[in-house]
Formats: sequence, structure tokens, C-alpha cells
Amino acid sequence: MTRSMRGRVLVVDDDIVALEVTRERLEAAGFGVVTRTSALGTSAFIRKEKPDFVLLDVNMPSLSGDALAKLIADGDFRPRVILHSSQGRDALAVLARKCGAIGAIEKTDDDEDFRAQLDGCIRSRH
Amino acid sequence: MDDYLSKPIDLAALAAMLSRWLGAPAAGAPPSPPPAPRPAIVLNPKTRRSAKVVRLYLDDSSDRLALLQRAVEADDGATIKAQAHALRGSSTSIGATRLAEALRALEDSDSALARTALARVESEAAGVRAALLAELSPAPAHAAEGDPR
Repeated sequence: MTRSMRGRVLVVDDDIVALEVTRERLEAAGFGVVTRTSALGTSAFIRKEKPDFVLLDVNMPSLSGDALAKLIADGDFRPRVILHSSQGRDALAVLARKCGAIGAIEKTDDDEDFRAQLDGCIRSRH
Repeated sequence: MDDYLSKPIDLAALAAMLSRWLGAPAAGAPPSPPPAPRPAIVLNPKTRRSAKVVRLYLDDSSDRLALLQRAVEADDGATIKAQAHALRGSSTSIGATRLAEALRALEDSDSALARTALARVESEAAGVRAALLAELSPAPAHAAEGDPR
């Protein structure tokens, strides 16, 4: 993963299609990207890679994204966390607040919508 | 009471009365457009899909659909919800919006409606698959025809 102008993003999603689409969208938006398909082991990975942001799927079998966000918040290195799910936006926003994430992105079929939601999350805590 | 019609009801008279009370279109006004039909878009053209993503989706979705079919057959509600949710996420990611809607209906359906919801998912999934395969294999250019070499 190379250092990019807008920062580095770790994407965690057990759905390989969503993972790859998200990687392509983030790279197109100017981010460096690294991915994981398993939530377990992510805390150690974060300590090693030190990403600027972590984009977490919520509905993962081994460990939910919001539970993982709480683990990350308790760690020594704390990148900004954004939830990413097909749940509705209102429910996601509530979940994000509860787990210490800076925001949430509803999974979308529209690249521009993804970009707008991402920019909104990043702006909200800069 | 504002108005009345005496029995037997004459449909033309009823229509005229309704127009009078509801307001007929002004003379010369353009006719109101018919309601917009539901877009028959299998894949959202605004969604960028790389060939790599399309291949991943084709492989992944065929397994997930098979798992869904087995789960509906076995009336396994937990697996239906989990697999429908997972396939909805990836279908949304590639722009298969109508399939994603059908999957949400299956995810939310109770046992009695699961088979009907699955039938809609299967129909939409077949259309998505055909459209994705067409994207991967564009028709050969006509220029190649009649090439003397």
C-alpha cells in the first residue's frame, strides 16, 4: 500500500465483490487502499499498517463492524472509523455514533453517491 | 349536498359532473404526461464495473443463489436472511438495483412468502447475469467482417 495524498484506507468486508468495488472507488478518489475479508485479526493489522481510515462492513460473521469499531477505539493506534453497510442511513448513523465511528456510508450502486457520503464523513471530523 | 344524479346512473353524466367538480383541463393546456414507467434497467449504467469485479460477482453470486435456493427449500429462515443480505450487498455494489430490491423483499419475507420472493430473485438474477456476460463479451466489430486477410 502506497502513501497517497488523501491518506490510506483499510477496508474490511467479508463480501469480496463489495470489497473490490470499494477499493476501486477509493483509489479513484485518491486514497491508498488495503483490504481484509476477515474482521478477526484487524486490530493487529491496524497496529502494523497504521491506516488513516478504516471502512468497516457491519454485517460480518466473525465479528460485527460496530463491535470491531469499539475494539479499535480501545487500541493504542486509533484510525478514524467509518461504517459501511446496506442498512438504512438513519440506523447506520445511530450505530456509528454508538461505536465511536466518525460516520457511516450506506452501500450504494452510485459511485458519485459513495464519493459524496465519504467526503461528508471525512469533513465531519476534520 | 352539492350536487346529485338520479338513478339509473348515466356514466356520461357522472363523468361530466366529476369533471365539473374536480376541474377539467383548461382549453389548450398540454395533456398531462402519463406516469413514468418503472425503468427497465437491469444494471445501473452510472455504476462503474471493472471486468475483475464482474467476474468476482458472477462466481460469488451463483454460489450464493444456490445457497438461497437450498435455504428456501429447507425453510431455513436464518440462512435465507444472511445469504439474501450478503447477495444484496454485492448486487448493490455492481449496480444491480432491481435484483437488490428483490433480495430485500426475500430478506424481509416470512416463511409463507419466501418461495414467491425467491422466484422474483431468480428471474432478476438471470437478467443480471446475462447483462454482465454481455458486458464481458462485447459484440465483435463489423469492421472485422470481410477482412481480406
